Amino acid sequence: MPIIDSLPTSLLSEPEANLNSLKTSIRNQALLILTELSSIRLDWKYTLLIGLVSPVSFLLLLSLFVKGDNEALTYIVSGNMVLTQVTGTMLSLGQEMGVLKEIRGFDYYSTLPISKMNLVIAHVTKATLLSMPSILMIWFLGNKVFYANITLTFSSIIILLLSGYTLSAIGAVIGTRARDAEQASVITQVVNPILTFCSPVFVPENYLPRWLNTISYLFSTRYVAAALRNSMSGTNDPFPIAMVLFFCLISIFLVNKFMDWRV
Amino acid sequence: MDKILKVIEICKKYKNAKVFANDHISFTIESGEILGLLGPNGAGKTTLVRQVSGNLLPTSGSILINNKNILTEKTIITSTISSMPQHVFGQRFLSCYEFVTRTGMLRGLSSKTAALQANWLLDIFSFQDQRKKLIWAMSGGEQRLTSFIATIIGFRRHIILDEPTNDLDPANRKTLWDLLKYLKEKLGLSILLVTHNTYEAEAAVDRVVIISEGKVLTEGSIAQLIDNSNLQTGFELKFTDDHIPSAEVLGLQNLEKLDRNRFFYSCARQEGADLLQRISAIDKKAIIEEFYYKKPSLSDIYLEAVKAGNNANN
Repeated sequence: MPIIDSLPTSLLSEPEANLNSLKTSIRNQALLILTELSSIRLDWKYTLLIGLVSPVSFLLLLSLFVKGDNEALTYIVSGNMVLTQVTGTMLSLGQEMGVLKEIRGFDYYSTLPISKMNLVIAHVTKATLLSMPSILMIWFLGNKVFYANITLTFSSIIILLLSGYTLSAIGAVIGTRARDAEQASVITQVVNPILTFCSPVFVPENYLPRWLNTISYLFSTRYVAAALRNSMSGTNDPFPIAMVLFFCLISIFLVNKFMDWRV
Repeated sequence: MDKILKVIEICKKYKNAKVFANDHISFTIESGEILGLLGPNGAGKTTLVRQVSGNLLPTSGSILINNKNILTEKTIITSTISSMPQHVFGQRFLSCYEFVTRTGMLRGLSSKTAALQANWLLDIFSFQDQRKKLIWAMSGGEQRLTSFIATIIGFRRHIILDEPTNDLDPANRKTLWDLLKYLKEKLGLSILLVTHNTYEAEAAVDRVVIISEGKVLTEGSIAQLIDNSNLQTGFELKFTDDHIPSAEVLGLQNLEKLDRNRFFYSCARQEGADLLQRISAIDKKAIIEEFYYKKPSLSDIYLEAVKAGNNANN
């Protein structure tokens, strides 16, 4: 053990880094993502189990009703992907933010040169990467077991990678504005089915009541589902993809604008 | 004086609260100074330090570092302040070493310097054998120590510590206090220290601010506060159980009974020998079992200030 007096001057000689430079920001974001991903050291079995059981069982159940109907199967496959990737991410983000708020976990970050947006990006990136096995399993079952005529294309992958961010502002706001972790959990679980089932995610829009269909134009899930269906069935419609990008940007803007460490 | 942190007339009232958690609190911390922030539970200490470290917005007032308002110039906090978190949650799956070095890198250190500083700090606390242990698997004291080391890495100008010695074993507590004194003397860091441990803090702090019910009761160096208090220096005596001192002894002026056979005699230090002679002259059978000089401690000052504050409020 060294005596305290032995602090080498070399430890202090480093010039002060520019904390606001782009290089520093990118490095800090990477460090936060790596830190978030460290959860798989202990939780990977449960993460995989939860990620597979829920969407796969849902897919198997729904597929029983639509045997051979390719359009319906496409809705079910893409809907399950939305459920996993979009609303699932919003759910976990809201709950994690709620816990951080309750235990004052944000205190660690407030004196570091990072924003809540950095934290949101780190969490969504983790959730997106960890849900990929589930997405692949859904596609595999849909395509190989139920013979749906769908292809996981490059554009499908890009849409899936972006889609988790489209509801990140909602998850972050619920988590940081809720009274505690329990309330954040309840609210996210109420919002989750609204965004999934009150929108043309699992069913075509003409199955929805007119008023519900109109409201669903405000939900990003509508556009993510449409973009996925199009890309997996080989249709090129840029509008839903543009809307997915628009919701990503809106989410980033809202989190940056309205979510300060200081409350 | 440069590198100074000023808290000016800070008020904080939480939503739906009837009273202010902080009510016009002002103080300064200079470079190379440890300021102890003391107060009973619920006094508003944590609310105050959370405002200084940028977690809470004050209702009114300002906080300046080098005359720049941290509320308007947000980069001041990230470049000058380091605050010890109460919990390590988001990083619980990191090892101790990863957590400390990554925190250093987030403060702008290169990976090489972060590693050097982390190793130096881990060596000081003889904590290298825990470097690979994941934080979630650590005991409360180990987590606390890891959190403290992560707060120190990067050597920010202003360090905020809220109960840093809770759960630490005596050896680590001593090292922690030694390190804080070293950092303030050698590097000129200023340290805002919230603690209930007045005995340990007494040896480390340069000045104290005592708050209660959101208001500053008193502040100054320990010597100043002793001078300004009604507390007296003197000798504490304990007589043996088998003999009650005579009425003449018990009637001595300045002698105050503390319990059945324990007394406090207010006087200057040099009067101690005289006191012993007087007692043995008055009552030859009286046997003094314990006899020691006592001056007011930080704990005495704290208790007197809080008591006076409570009386004033009642």
